[in-house]
Amino acid sequence: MPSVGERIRKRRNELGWTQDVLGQKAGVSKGFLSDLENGKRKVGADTLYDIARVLSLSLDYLMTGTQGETEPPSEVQIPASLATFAARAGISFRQALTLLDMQQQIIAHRSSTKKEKLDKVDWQKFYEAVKDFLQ
Amino acid sequence: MSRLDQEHDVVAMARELGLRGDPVEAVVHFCEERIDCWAADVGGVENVAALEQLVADRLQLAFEEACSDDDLERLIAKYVAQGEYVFAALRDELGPTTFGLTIKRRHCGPDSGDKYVAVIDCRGEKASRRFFTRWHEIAHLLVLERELDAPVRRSSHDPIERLMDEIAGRIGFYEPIFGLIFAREHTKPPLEFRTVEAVRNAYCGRASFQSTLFACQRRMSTPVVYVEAEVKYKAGEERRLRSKQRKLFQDDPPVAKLRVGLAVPNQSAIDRDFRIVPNMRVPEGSVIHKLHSDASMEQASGRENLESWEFSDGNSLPACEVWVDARKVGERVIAIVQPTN
Repeated sequence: MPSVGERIRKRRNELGWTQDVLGQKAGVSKGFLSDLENGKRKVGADTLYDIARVLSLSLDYLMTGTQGETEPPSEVQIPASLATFAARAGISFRQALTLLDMQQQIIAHRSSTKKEKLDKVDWQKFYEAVKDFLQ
Repeated sequence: MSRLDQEHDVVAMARELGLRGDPVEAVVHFCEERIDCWAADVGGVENVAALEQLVADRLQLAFEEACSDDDLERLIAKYVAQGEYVFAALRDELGPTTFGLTIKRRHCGPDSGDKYVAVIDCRGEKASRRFFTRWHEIAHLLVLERELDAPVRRSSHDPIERLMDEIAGRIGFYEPIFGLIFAREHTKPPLEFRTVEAVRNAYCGRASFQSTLFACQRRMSTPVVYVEAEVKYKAGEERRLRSKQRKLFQDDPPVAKLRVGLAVPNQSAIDRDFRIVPNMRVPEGSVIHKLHSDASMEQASGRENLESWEFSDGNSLPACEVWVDARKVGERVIAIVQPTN
């Protein structure tokens, strides 16, 4: 059965990415990635999550490989509110993904009032704040 | 077992961390143990500033504080220049009711000391929450593996946020340091505000009075109830005033009175069923009411009997002589209430 590293390499090759590219996107070094793909290193859940995210795979699939044998690897789930906003604002799929990725960088948020879940983020406002940096 | 212990998200978090027992206590203990190990690795820590630095280093967390709008702009420019464009959203994200947030950087090495950046909003009145907010953000990272399943945008009413507050209240007032100071400053009941102030000054002047008070209250082996009193309507009146029935009040509008807005018992008070009920009216004879009515006074203390605290239906709290220490905070009065025997 393929290992975690082999699954990462397989998906990376499917996307046509070098280890450099994947490393940069996932925030890990090329050396680390090389060791990981060759089964010379273990990986924490935190880092594995980053890798799964940029490869558009589920953590489950990367860890067990089982999901991939019975069904296609899960794609990134775009919240309905973001999809609606993207359609209305005419932004590309890629830009929508970037917006989602940026929003997910905010991992904790201390507030005294009720905040909305990811699905109900004010995407318009968020987009306005970061639009200059969207590719 | 508390109500928080029964919240699905809290139970799930404890389970995913592989913990057994009461979920809240288990998760808090899990965080404390992580910190204990790190502290032991470096031969112990002497003060809370050193502790925070140690924990932040281990979590690859950097703190950034914005004390003014200019500070915030500098902060945004700094990280945007490094390719962390999400920081551009901080102007909106740090709204009037948001005290801080943590961002995971995309453009940094795996071993970078600032893989996570906690931005603490210290502008205006938010500055008073600075200390607790920093520990709240630390709490999120301490349980991060579970958190990754659901990036967080939650309110203070959310069970996980309440759990993070619980963790922050415990680890921010780290027992090996805080416990010694508390034992030195507080020798016998009752707990007094001046003791809390002395403990705060000795432990960390940046900690808020209220968070220090809760930390002291938690360590008391005798019953202590923290009370916040404010002028407000009865719950039913409040509901009707907000409903379509408000017209019914036009001839005889309800009068807002000094009521208990918040009552927080410590464990000993819960065990002994020593309680003060939120929203009940504060009697005019109470130390709290007298302080609220007297514009010339900022604080007051004294004895009274809780049997004079009546409910709307005419019943009252059980007879119990208590000692009350109270002070004004804006329009509210905060107090600690403790049985005298």
